Amino acid sequence: MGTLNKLIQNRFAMICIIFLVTVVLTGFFAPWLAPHNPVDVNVKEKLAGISTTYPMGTDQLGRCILSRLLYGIRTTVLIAFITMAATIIIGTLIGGIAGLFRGKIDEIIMRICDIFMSFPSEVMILAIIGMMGPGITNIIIASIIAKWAWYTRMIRSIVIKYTDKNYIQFARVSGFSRWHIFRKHIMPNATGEIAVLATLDIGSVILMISALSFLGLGVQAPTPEWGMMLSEAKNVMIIHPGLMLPPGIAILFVVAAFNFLGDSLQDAYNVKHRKRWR
Amino acid sequence: MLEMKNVYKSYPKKGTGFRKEKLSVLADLSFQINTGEWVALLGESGSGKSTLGRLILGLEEADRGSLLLEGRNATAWRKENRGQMSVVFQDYTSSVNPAFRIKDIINEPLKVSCRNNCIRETTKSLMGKVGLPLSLLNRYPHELSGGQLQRICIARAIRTNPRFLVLDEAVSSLDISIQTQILDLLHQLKEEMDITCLFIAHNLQTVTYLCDHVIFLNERKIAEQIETKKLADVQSDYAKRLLASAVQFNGLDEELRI
Repeated sequence: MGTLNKLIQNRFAMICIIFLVTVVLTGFFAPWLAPHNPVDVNVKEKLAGISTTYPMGTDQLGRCILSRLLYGIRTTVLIAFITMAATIIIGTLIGGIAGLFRGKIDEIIMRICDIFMSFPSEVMILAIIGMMGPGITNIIIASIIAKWAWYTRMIRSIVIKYTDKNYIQFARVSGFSRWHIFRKHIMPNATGEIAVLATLDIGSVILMISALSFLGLGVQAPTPEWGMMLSEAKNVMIIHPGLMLPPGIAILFVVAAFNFLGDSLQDAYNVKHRKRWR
Repeated sequence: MLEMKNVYKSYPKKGTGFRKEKLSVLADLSFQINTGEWVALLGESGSGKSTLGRLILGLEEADRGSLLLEGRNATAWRKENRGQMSVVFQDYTSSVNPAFRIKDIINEPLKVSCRNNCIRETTKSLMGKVGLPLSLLNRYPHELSGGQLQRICIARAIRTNPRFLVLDEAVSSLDISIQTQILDLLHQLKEEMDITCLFIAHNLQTVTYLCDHVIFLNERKIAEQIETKKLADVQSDYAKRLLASAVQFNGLDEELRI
């Protein structure tokens, strides 16, 4: 409750939360909110300006930009959430095992992580997508493969930090199993720190997905996605630069909101601990 | 109760690359503690006191030697007697889970050795035993003072009526007035309960108040083991030095008081 109270007291964090919740809800209710079908092509209305029929105008194929932006939330944010959730689960499981068991198991896991972390993540993602082909599922798989090692290492260090605490040592002396210690003592305390990691990183996942779609390696046409909207807009950048603004600004605001929220969460979490043992 | 024979313990040195150099912490340690005895382990910082405690608690493995509890291999004994060995650490702030309420902290050890129906029966008497009001049970650790927290740690440690208790500098980090209260509490527990105890300390006065035997640990080895009431007859140079420094300190203390 302490962390939550601190977060509620932070006005900027609350603005970020309200903004992100609104974005997610807008994406969820996109079929009801969008004025047009996002994939309907209407060449007669191509590159139309702002009007009551098309509140943000149309693109070079005459598709409603607002509708594509709203439906794009589903693709962009959903992929980011799935990627982050899967990476966190894998990182928590493997990092938890490494941190709890230590010894040879820890050594083997950490050396595998070293191998994965020795490649730049962008290069690894491009290589994986190059082998598997473009597509939503492949982006998610590639992102997880590129990120799991870093998360495993971070979560391992969090677990080790807690296993050195005396209450964990007491539980070990009392005869509790490692699973009980992980479930009852480590996870409830580590969840806050893992949430900070995830919130700070989800912005970069959104950027990465958008960048891959921009390069034509991610989400494929005609599925609306912010990175791909940018990619399509770049073809008419000279004659109609305004087309790049809606997806660009949307990415900017969502990524910034996640980053600010992550920072606020980190502050709230740290303050709580400083205050507890003052 | 406890018998240690020729125990060696070392830790790998950091930064030695592929060479497996080790730093010896305990060498050829042999001693025994009889049932119901309170034995003090005295020594300087870095003499291996806490490592010895961790070996007994099963938090570390010895390199060589044997550790027997009631005549049985210590690992097997611990598995068969869960909750029968307990510990109170020096640092009470990290000894309790900050996310747990006090009642959950105290009752946690019961989950390995007792069914839930005995929880309500003794929490009340246990809080009375350690001199704390029942109103603290629903509080969180950060709402308690250092002395109260250390009492909670002691209450948790004796929750399952353990047969063996390790007090790892349990009073060292408390201020003098609280130290006295905790020592009185421990003395009372010694009288009331049938517990064997290893009391790790570096203060001779607390040791003479509580313990039946004293083991002097110096440079990885046992310098001397002696009954507390025969402390004046120590033979080893280290024990003599330690006693002399304590006497000097007491003398200074007396002068200041005058």
